[in-house]
Amino acid sequence: MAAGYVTNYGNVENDGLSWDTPKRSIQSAIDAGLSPISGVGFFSEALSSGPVSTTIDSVGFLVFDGGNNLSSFIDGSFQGFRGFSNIKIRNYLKLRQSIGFEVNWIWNNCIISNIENLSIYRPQYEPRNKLTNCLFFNNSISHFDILENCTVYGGEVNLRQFGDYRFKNSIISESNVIINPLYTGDMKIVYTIFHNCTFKFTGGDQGADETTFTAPAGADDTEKLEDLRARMAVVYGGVASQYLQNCRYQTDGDLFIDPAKENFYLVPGCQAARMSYEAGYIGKYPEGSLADFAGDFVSYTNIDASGNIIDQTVDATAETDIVDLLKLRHINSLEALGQRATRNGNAVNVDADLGPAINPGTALTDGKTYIVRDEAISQTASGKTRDVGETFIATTADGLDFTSATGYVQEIYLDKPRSIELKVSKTDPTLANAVWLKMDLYAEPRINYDVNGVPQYGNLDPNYDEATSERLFIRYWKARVTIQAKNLPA
Amino acid sequence: MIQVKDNIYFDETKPYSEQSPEFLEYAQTVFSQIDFTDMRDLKSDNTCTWTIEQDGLRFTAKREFLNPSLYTVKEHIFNVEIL
Repeated sequence: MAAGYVTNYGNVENDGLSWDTPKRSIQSAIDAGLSPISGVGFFSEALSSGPVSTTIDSVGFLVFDGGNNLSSFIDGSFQGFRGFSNIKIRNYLKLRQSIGFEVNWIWNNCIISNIENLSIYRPQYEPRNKLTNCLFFNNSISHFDILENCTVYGGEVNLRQFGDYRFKNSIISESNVIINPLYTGDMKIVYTIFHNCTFKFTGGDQGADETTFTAPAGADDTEKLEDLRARMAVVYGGVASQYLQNCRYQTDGDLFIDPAKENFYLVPGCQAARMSYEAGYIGKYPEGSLADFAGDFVSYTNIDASGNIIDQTVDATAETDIVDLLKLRHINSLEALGQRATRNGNAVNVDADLGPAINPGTALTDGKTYIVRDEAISQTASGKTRDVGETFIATTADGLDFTSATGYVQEIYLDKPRSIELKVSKTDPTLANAVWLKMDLYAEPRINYDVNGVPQYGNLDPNYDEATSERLFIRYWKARVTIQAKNLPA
Repeated sequence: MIQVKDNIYFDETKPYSEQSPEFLEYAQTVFSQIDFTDMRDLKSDNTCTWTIEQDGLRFTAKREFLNPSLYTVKEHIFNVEIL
């Protein structure tokens, strides 16, 4: 089985076996028996399965935009599809991933929006992977079996519960939520935040199914969560406390910066921790780039009178390798949504702080970032000896080895960049003459290009020559990083 | 409803997409025999149809192309009927 390559710049006659000879359509690569298929560009086609199982992935920017049914192959055939990753799918009438006989299918890091009939069933056999790190907005979701580290915004979502499948570590916001379990005794919706949703609980065995969407009742969010649990106990039996464990309901406040502009950055300071989806933008931080952030995040000074950390913004930069966008002739827009920092996972926190402190003496995990405050002895990290009681951020890579019996260590999450700067050229792989262009991701996450690929913000490259350009290079993303930190335990 | 093979039944009262998973899996193996790159029967309305007759059934796959020269498909339509 050979790997396939598809771009808007390809053609039917190409064999699709390299970026020098790409196919023009995803379907032509499927029919040629290629897999995995890597794509760049915009596609409006409907897909059907081919002679081999296929995985479709992006190498930066792959959008399926518009059409009738994206996936007639999913309706009618069960082989020939293994997964989507790092792509955007939007504006289709129907998208359906059936139960299927495939194993180990994956939806990961996808952004799926404006689908009038979206249903994704769980795989029939083990391993039952995966619908993770995805963003869904403004869809009508008729069936979900599994949802991990995902965000759902707007529209209707029907959570269908099967045995050991789980909905967890996810955010469901501004949606009409239908809970419709197959097995009512084994509900597993955990560590999930519901934000300004209405609910309809059906499929129960108590003869008390709800018929309309109703918002939870209560004087505050705690009471509203309890109201939801009580309603579930009425519909499904048992006791209220067995439902929605470690979940949270939130009424007030926005979670996202500007959903209307598809900006799903979390509002700084909100309790929903952070997002993880990363599809839909062209350049990504290459793995390991965060290690290049200016060595030591500055010491916290924003600590209130009670000793609690409040939000602190730190300027840090990272330079990426050149991102070669291959032979993408022109770009409709360059999006930088969904960028994130140190680790994958949505890691919803249901408490006001980041959770219980790691017990002193507990071994720290490589690759994670910690808030450290020691109340007895000084610590050394990043070549600095910290004062007793000083709060700082460090990792094991900084030399942190926390063994104090009286201090606190807590894992933290770095928020996404507020702004980035980039250089772009269609002619110069070294970008020696390109100028910086700054994007404020909160205000406007896109740089728009006209049909010829000329950025509307101004021509970034004085040597840009549309007639001769065949490749687009991007280098250097500078990020200003906001670190969101919550209260440490007293 | 007719029995096609062991545990595989075709219900002529239901559309193709609503047949049993076992039948759909079987049907997929039939459709996979089609060489969709053979577009000699492409019609002026940008549709192309392929047919296989097997096990007493007629399997029809139809594609409506957005642009045949670019090999972009607007819609795939599958159908099965009793011969």
